This record gives sequence, structure tokens and C-alpha cells, in this order.
Amino acid sequence: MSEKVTFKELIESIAEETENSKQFTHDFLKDFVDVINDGLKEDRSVNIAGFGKFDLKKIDEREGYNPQTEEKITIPAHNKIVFKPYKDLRELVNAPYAHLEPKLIEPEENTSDTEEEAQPTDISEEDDFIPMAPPTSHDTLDDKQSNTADSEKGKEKTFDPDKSEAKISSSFIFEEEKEISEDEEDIVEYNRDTPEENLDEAFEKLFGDDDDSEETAQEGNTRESLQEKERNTEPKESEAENDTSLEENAEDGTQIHKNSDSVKAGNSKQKRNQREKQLPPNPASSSASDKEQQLEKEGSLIPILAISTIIILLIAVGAWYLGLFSGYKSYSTLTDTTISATKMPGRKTVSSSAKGKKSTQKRPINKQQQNKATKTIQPKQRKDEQIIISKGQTLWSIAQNKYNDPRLWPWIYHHNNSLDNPDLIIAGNSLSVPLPSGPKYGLTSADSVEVAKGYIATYQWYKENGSSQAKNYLWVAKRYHSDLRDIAHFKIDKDDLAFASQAR
Amino acid sequence: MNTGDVVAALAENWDMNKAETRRLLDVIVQTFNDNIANGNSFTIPDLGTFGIHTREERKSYNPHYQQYMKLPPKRVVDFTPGKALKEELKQAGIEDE
Repeated sequence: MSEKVTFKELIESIAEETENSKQFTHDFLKDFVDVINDGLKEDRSVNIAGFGKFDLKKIDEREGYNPQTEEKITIPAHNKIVFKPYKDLRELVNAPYAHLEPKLIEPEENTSDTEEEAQPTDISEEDDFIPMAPPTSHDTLDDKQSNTADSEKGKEKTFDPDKSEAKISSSFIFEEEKEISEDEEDIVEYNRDTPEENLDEAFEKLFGDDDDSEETAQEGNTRESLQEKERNTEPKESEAENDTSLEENAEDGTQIHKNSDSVKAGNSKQKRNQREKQLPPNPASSSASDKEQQLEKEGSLIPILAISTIIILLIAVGAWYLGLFSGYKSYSTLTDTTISATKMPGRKTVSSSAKGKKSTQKRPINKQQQNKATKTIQPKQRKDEQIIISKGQTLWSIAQNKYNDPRLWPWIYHHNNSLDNPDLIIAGNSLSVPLPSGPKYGLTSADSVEVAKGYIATYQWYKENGSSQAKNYLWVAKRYHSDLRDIAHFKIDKDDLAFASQAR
Repeated sequence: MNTGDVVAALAENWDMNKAETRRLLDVIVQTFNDNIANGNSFTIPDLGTFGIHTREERKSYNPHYQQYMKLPPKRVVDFTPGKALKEELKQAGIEDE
């Protein structure tokens, strides 16, 4: 098809068609060329209808270089002859490919964008769960968190001057672990059995009733601490054990602590006050609240709740005895602000039963806290997948492969301590890829916290390496977790944080 | 210079009327086109070589819409001016300025 046709052959075919002599055709064609050349010289442009347009295009002087010697040379301004075929000719030439049309290549980013937008909404739904509760609840939640922080601070403070030996502290840790595991079990069980929010209240009520009937006013503190444990799933066994210390130190130690930590404990006192309020006048206030909430299923679930309550009580008593015998002295000195805080309101309970309603409103939040707590346990159960990096893979592509969302790659980066530069992975090395623990391969809130940590780690690296893009990672981190200061282990640049806070 | 000018010039040179010249020119152009369309390449002395080459399929990027496009292969006319003509016209009009 693509043959070389000589000028002679051309002339022959033209002469044949026009019934002219070859000589005439040859001369005529030569003249035709001359006319074109003259036209290019004079007009710089010759247009032949049905064929094309010859143009003389001026090329300005420019810098170039000799590719062989790599010397720089100046290419002087010159003319270039350009031929632009007519549209008919172009279409005729391109006929074999005429049916093909340019196609839009769907960029990967487009698809992932939609996915990414879907995910944060999921997360935000979970987060929005809390604000759905009454407005006061929001404050109380924060306060409670600060409470626990405060109480822990208090613990440390009181712990230090105790000159407690390593033995004691080790037993302390042992206790702690035990408690956590027990609590975990309880909570998992509990959630499974009691899907309704209302059950929490019922549980609370039962709990309170049992305690009231069985135990003295002082042991109300154990109750309190137990509840505290359930809410936070944090080791609070010291509080439980502190009952014993209460008997000993009675007013002295606690009073001192009260004074010293009164400012800190101020918040916690109030909160516990409210909690306490609702407990002792249980028959009255909680039944009223039941009516409010219309607990219809309560009756059928009471046995289950009763059993779980008894189990928890048994555990608490066990822990109490263990604490009594193993670390009697150390625990007696461990009286902390939480005890003093819970003790004070205990006296006021009778007078301030009017606020029972308020405290019932807090129930759903407690439930939320429990949910959160169980979720924070989940990372231990999360499965990781070990993969070996193959050539050409990137964190981005791995994330795309595993999560169907390449933007989760900082999660993998953060998960592998062996990685330093987030832009560099080495083929042949193994990576452990964290898998989302949510249903249907979704992200739970705990997962999103991990993702946020990943983004923060990425941010940190880029920041340390002076990249101006660093704050963008912080911005994304903010989308996965609202309180970055919570999870960052370093001081975040103020400006970057301000930038990131625009994300919400 | 357009087709009319070319025809007029040729008609004057060969003492033919314009219509006749035009018909002859059309046949010439038609022959050229047929050969080009068939993928044949040919050289006209003092003018240049006509031929065809195929542009491979490629990706293009539209920076405004930030889209990538896949462009199909395309057959295009190839014209290489003859060396003599090139040299002759290289400085045309440039030294005037």
C-alpha cells in the first residue's frame, strides 16, 4: 500500500487521464511547481483548492544545542515551509481510523473522591450521636473525661509520696490488667445482651437497688467507682480498694486530698453529685424516669440484668478482697480525689433528688461512652495482613488495593514503624496492613482515629522535612478525628492547626 | 496566492484558457490526493515529498478541566519540502526586515 511512486509514474497517470502528452504534462507540472515557489516567495502562502495550503512560516531566532557536541548554538531566524492539507484530504487520509474518537480517561482520583466523601459521613454519623443527646450532655461528657484525667492525676500525686515499693506497684499493675480484662468481658457481653439504650437505665436502677439493700452508705463509693469503671473501662480498681482506706484514713486523708484537689475535683464532684443523686432515691426517681422513657421491655430483661449485676458485684468484691490482702498498705494511701469527690455528694443526695431528671438524661451518653470504650478495645482484636512489597507498588496503590480507597495510605504508613519516609517503600520488604474492623469492611471510629494518627504521622514527617504540603495532611487528619491534640504526641504548629480546623 | 491566481499564471504561461487550466490542475490535484490517500509517497522535484505517517495513540491532558484524554491513532499527510526550495526560501523576507 505504502509504495513509493516516482514522478515519472505520476506524470504517466496524469497524462493518461488528461489525454495529453507526457512531455506536456511534465512541463506543465514543472511550471506548476515554479508558480507555487514564486507564490511562496511573494505571498508566503499558496492555496491550492482541494489539495492544501503551502505556508512560509517564520521561525524566530532561538537557542539550541548540537546534540553531538552538546555545544550551545544560536539557530538564526529562518522560514519553514508548512503544508496544511485540505479537510477533505485529511479525512480521506484518516479514513481507516475515522471511527475512533478521543475517550475521556476516568482519573482514579474521581472515584476515590466520592468514596472518601462517603466515609467521613459515616464517621460523622457516629460522632453526631453524642450531640443528639440533650445539650447539657455535651458538657457533662467533656467534664467526665476531664474528671478521669483529673482523678488519674490525683492518683499519681498521691502515689508518689507513698514510697511504695516495686512489689506493690507490680501487684498494682497486675490488678489493673485483670480488671481490664474482666471489664472487657463484661462490656462485650453487656452490649450483646442489651441493645437498647434504655437498658442502661434499668441496669443502673437494678444496680442501685441491690447496693442499697445490701450495702452500707460507705460502700456506695464502691458502686460509684464500679460504675466509673464500666463507663471508662479504665482501671479504677484503686477506687474500689480505697474503700478500705476510707475506713482507715476516714476523714483525715480524704479531707487533705479534698482540700488540695478541691479545685480539680470541683467538676467531678458536681458530676458525681448528679450521679449520686439519682442512685439513692432510686425507687422514686428512677421509676419516674422509667415512665418518662417508657421502658416497656424492661420487665423481660430484668433477669439478665440482675445476673450481670451480680457478676459485676462478685468481681468487684473479689477485687476488693484481693486489694485488701495484697496491697493493703499501699492502697490505703492511694486515697484519691475521686473518692473524696464521690464521698461528698453522698451526703447531699437526699436533699438534691429534684435533679433526678437531669441525671436520667445523662444515661444515653453513658451508654455512648460505653460504646466508645468497647470500640477502643477493638484495635487489639483488629487483624493485620502481612504483605510483601512488590516492585512498582506504592503505599497509595496498596491502600487502593486493600481498602479501595488510596487515601487511607497514611494508616499503613503509621502502622509500620519500620517506615520513615512516607514516600519511600522498598520492594521485597514486608508490610503489615491494618484491616478495617467495621462491618462490611467499613471503618469504625477507632479505625478512623488510627487513620487520623497516620495522617498526623505523615504530617509530622513532612513538617520535619520542611514541606509546605504538611498542613494538608493535618487537614485530612482533622476530618478523621476532630480532636487532634488528643492523639498527637507532639506539639502541633498553631497555624497548621488553625488551617486544619477549617476542615470541620 | 490562491487557486485562481495559480490558474491565471499557468494559463498565461501555456496560452490556455483558465477553465481548461483549471480542469488540468484539478486532475493533477486529484492524482496527488489519490496517491496520498492510498498511502503512497511521491516526490515532486523542486517542491518536496508527500506521504503519510501515522500518529500513535496517546494520552493528552487538559489542564483546564484536569482531564486525561485518550487520543486514538491518526493518519496524517506528511510533507517534506525539497532541500533546494527550503534553502531558497529560508531567508526570504527576513533580510528585508
